[in-house]
Amino acid sequence: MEKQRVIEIKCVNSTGVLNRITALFFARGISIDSIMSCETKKDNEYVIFVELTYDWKVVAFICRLLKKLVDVINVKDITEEIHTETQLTLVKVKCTNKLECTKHFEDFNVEVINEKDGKFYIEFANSKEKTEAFVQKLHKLGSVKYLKSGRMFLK
Amino acid sequence: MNGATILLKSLEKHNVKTVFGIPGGVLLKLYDELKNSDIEHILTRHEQGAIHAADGYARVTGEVGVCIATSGPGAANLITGLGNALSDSTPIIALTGQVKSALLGKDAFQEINTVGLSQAVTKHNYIIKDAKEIPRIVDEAFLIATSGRPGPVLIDICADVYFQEVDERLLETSQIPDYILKKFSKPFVKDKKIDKVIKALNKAKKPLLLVGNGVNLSPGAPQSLLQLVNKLNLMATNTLHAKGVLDEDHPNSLRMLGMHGTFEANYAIQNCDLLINIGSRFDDRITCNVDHFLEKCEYIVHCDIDASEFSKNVQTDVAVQADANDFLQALLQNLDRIDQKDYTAWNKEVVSKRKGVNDKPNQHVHPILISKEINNHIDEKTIIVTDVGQHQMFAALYMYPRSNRQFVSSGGLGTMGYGLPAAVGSAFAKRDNNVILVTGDGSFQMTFQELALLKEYNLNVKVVIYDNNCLGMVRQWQELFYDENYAESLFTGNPDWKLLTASYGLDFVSISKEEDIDVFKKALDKKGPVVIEVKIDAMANVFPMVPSSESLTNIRGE
Repeated sequence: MEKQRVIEIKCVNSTGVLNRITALFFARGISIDSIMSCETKKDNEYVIFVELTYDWKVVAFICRLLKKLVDVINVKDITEEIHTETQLTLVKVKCTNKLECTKHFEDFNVEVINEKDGKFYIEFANSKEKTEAFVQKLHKLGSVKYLKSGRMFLK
Repeated sequence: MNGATILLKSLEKHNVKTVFGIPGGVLLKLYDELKNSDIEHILTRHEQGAIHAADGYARVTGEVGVCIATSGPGAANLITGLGNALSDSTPIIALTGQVKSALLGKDAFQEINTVGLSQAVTKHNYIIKDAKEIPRIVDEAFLIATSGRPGPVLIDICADVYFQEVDERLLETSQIPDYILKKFSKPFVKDKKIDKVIKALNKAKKPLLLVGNGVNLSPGAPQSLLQLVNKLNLMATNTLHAKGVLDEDHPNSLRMLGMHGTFEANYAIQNCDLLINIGSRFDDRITCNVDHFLEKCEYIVHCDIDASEFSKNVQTDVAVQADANDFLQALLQNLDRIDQKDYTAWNKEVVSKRKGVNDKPNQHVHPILISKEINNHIDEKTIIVTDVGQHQMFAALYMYPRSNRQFVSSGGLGTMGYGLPAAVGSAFAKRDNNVILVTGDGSFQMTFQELALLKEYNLNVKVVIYDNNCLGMVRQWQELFYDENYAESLFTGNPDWKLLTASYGLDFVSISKEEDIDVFKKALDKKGPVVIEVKIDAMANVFPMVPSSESLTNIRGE
C-alpha cells in the first residue's frame, strides 16, 4: 500500500552526490515529495532526508540502489522509527503592531524574528501536522508570504 | 612531474599494459607523454571500438580494460560501450579528455558534459580539475571497477591538468578514504545462510543449479562448481555469460536456459523444487514471463555479490551476498552435512527432454552446421566472440568453449557492433589464442572499421560473417509475431565482402553450400586473420524459442 515514507541517506559531501542520488529516482520515474540535506557532527558527513509516497517494496528497492553509490555511506527507510520531526516555516505578514501579529498566531508557538516597515517576519518550527494547520491559518490571513522547508527527522 | 605523466605512472602502478583509444585536441599533452611510457596504445578507428576492445580485453583476462577518448564526440561515442560494460559487469576505466577547467560550462569547442552524460552508464565517474587528485582517483577507480560486482568507471580530465606540475611522491602517499575501502570490502558468507541452503538441499527432491556470470568472473569458482556438481550429482543450467564455466558436454550440464534455451534446461527450471542461483540476476531473457517462472519451485536460493539483485526480479527465500567461489567453497566445506541423495530419476527425467536439431541445409548451408564445424576447431584456448542477433543464439546453443572467460558476448545490453572490436581486444589480451568471431551482416556493419587492426597487428582472429541480407532476429520476430510484415529488416545494399576485406588487405573466403565446408575448415586452420562469409538462408530461424510474454513451459521448436 502506498503511504508517505522517509529515507535517511548518510553520505559524503562530494561534488555531484545529490545529482547521483536524485538521478536514481528519476531513472525509475519515482518522484520525490521533499528532500532535505543536513550537516552532522561528523566532518564531511551529511544526512539527506527524502520523503516519497510509494509502496514499501519500491522504497526498499531504491534504498538498495542508493546503497551502491560510492559516496553514500548508509541508507535506511526510517518511516517506522521516527521519534522527532520538524519543519521550518518562515512568514512575512503585514500587521499594525506586534500585538496584532502575536494575536493572529496565538494558537501557534511562533517566534517573531524581525520587524521592518510594518512587516513582521515570523518563524514557526513544528511537526508536519501542526505546520499544515499553521499554513491553513496563513491562507486565511490573505496577504502573507511564506516559505516551508523540507522535514528533518531524528530517530 | 606533470599531470599527464603522473596519470600514466598511476596506470602503470595498476599494471596497465595496453590501452585502446583515439587522441584529440585536449589529449595532445597526454599522448605526447604516452609515447615515453611503457604502456602500449592501440589506435582504434572509432571510440566505440576502443571501449568494446577494452571490454573484450577485460573479459578474457579478468584485468581492467582501459580506453581513452577525447572530449565532446569522443566521450559521447563511449556511452554505448559503458552501458554494455555496466550491464555485463566488466571492469573498465574510461579516460576522457575535457576542455580546460576555466572553460567548463562555457560551451567551448568539443565540450560536452561528460560526467552528466555518463552517470547512468557507469558504476562511478569523476571529473579532475587538479592534477594532485590523479593518483588517488585512479586508485579509487581501479578499486571500484574491480570490487564487488565489476563495472566501468569514467575519469574525465580537464586539458590544463596534464600540464600542471605536481609532486611525484603523491604516487606513494595518496590514500583512498576509509569509507570507500569499507564500502568495497569483500562480503563474508554468513554461516546462518549456508545452514539454510544445506537444509533446503537436504529436503529437495529435484534440485537445480543456475550458473550465472558471477561464477564466470570469480577466480576458482568454475573448479569449485565442478566439484560440487560431481559430489552431489546436481543438474546445472547456465546463462549466456556462464558458457564454458561448466563443460557443456558434462552429463550434468543442461546448457543454456531462457528465451533461446534448450528444452531440457527450460523443463528443469519449470519443474525443479529447489533452485540455487549462483551469480545470475534473473534477467528477463532467462525468465521470460516472470509470473510463470519457476512454476513448481518451492525454495529459491540466490547468491550474488550485488545485494540490489535480491528479489529484484524473482522473490527469493534465501539471499546470500557473497562472491560465487566463497559461496561454493562454503558448501563444499560442509559436504558432510549435505545428504548424498539419489537424484537419478529426476536427472533422467530432465535429460529425456533433450531434442535433436535439424541442421539440414535448405538452399544454403545451415548455421547449425557451421556452428558444429567451429566447435570441432575449438581447443582449450579458443575464444569465441559473438555479436548480437540470431548468430549469437546459434553460437550460444551450438558452440561450446572449453573454459570460463572464453565466451565473449554482449548479453545485457545486446549491443550490435560489439563483436569485432571485442574480438580485437581479446586477441590483444591473449595473443597465442585463436579468436573466432561469429557475427552477422547487420552487426558487422556497425563497427567493421576495426578490420584495419586485424591487418595492422596480424591478429589471430577469424571473422565469420553469417550473411542473410537482413536483420535476422528482427525478421524472425516479424515472421512469428507480426504477420510476416518485414518492416525495414531486409537489406538490399550489402557491400561486396570480398572487395571490402580486400581493401583492408585481408584474406577472404566465401561459402554458401554444405559442400564448401572443407573451404571453411581450411580458412579456420589458417594462421592470422581471415574473413569468412557464410551465405545463409534469410528465412533460417533460431529455435528453440519462447516468446517473451509467455512461460518457459511454452517453448517452441521448429
